[in-house]
Amino acid sequence: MKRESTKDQLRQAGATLHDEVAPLLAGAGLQLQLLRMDHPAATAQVNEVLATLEAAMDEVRKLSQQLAPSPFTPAGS
Amino acid sequence: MPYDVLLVDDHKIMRDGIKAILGRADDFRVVGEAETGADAVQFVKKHRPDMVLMDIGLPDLNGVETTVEILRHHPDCRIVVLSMYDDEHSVVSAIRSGARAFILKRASDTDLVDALRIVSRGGSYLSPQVSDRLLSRIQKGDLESKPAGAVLEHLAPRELQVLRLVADGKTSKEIAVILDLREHTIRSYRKTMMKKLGVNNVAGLTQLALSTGLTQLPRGAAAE
Repeated sequence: MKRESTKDQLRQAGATLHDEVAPLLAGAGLQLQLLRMDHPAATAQVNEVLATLEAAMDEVRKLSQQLAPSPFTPAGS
Repeated sequence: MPYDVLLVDDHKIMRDGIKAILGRADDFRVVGEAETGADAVQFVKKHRPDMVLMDIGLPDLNGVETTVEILRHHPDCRIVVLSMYDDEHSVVSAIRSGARAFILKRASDTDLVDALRIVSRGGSYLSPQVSDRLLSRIQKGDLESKPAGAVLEHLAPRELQVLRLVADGKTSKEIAVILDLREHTIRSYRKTMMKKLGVNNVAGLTQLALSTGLTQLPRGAAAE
C-alpha cells in the first residue's frame, strides 16, 4: 500500500512538472524570442538566456517523463 | 491572404506568446483561442479555420483525440501538434490522428513559423529533435507501433475516447456533451466496451484504463 502511494506521489510530481512548470518555462522562452525580435541589438544576451532556459527545460522534460510517462505510452514500456 | 489559425492550449502564457509571434508573420492570422478540446471542436465546426495549432496535453479531450474530432468535422483543416513530450508514442499517436506536424515546445524554438508555413503549403513537419530520435529508433528496428496496451487493441478509436473519459470520472451525459453525441450512444459504447473487455462495471473500466496507461490518476488523487 505504501509503495503504491509513493509511486502515485512520484507520478503526481512528474505530472506537475509537465503540466505546470514546463509550460511556464516554454512561455518565458516565447517572451524572450519576442524580446529578441524587438531588440536585435540584444540578440547575443537573449540567446545566452535562452540556452540556459533550454537546458532547464530539457532537465524538466527528462525528469517529468521518467516520473510520469506521456499518456500515449503503452503499459509496460 | 493570411491563413486563419486557431490556437488550442490550456496555458494562457503559451497562447499569448504564440499569438504575438504569429502576429509578426504576415501570412498567419490568429482567429480564435481555445483552452479545451471540446471548445476547439466547437470553434472549428462554426468558423472552419485553415489551421489549428494544438497542444497535445489538454484537459477533457487530449490533443490527439481533439485532432480526430476536428478532422471528422473539417477534413481539410491542417493541424500542427505542439508537445512538451518528445517520446515516439506521442509523435506516432499525433501523426496517426491526422496531424500534419509535430513541434516540440522548446525555449529557443525557432521552427514554429517555418513549420506552419510548410504545413500551409500542404507539407508536413517534425521538429528536428523528434525526427532524429524517430530515425534512430526506426534504424534500430524497435519503434513502438501500438498506441495502447494490447488488451485495448479490439477497441475502436471512438471507444478508446469514451473509455478514457469514463476512467476520468465523466458521466455519460458529460461525455455526450464533450464528444457531441447522444447520451444513449455513450451508454451503448460503454456496454459494448464492457462486453469486449470482459468487465462488469465502471470501476473495472477505470482500472483497465489506468493499468494500460490510457489514463492517469487525476491530480490530487495520490495518497497523502
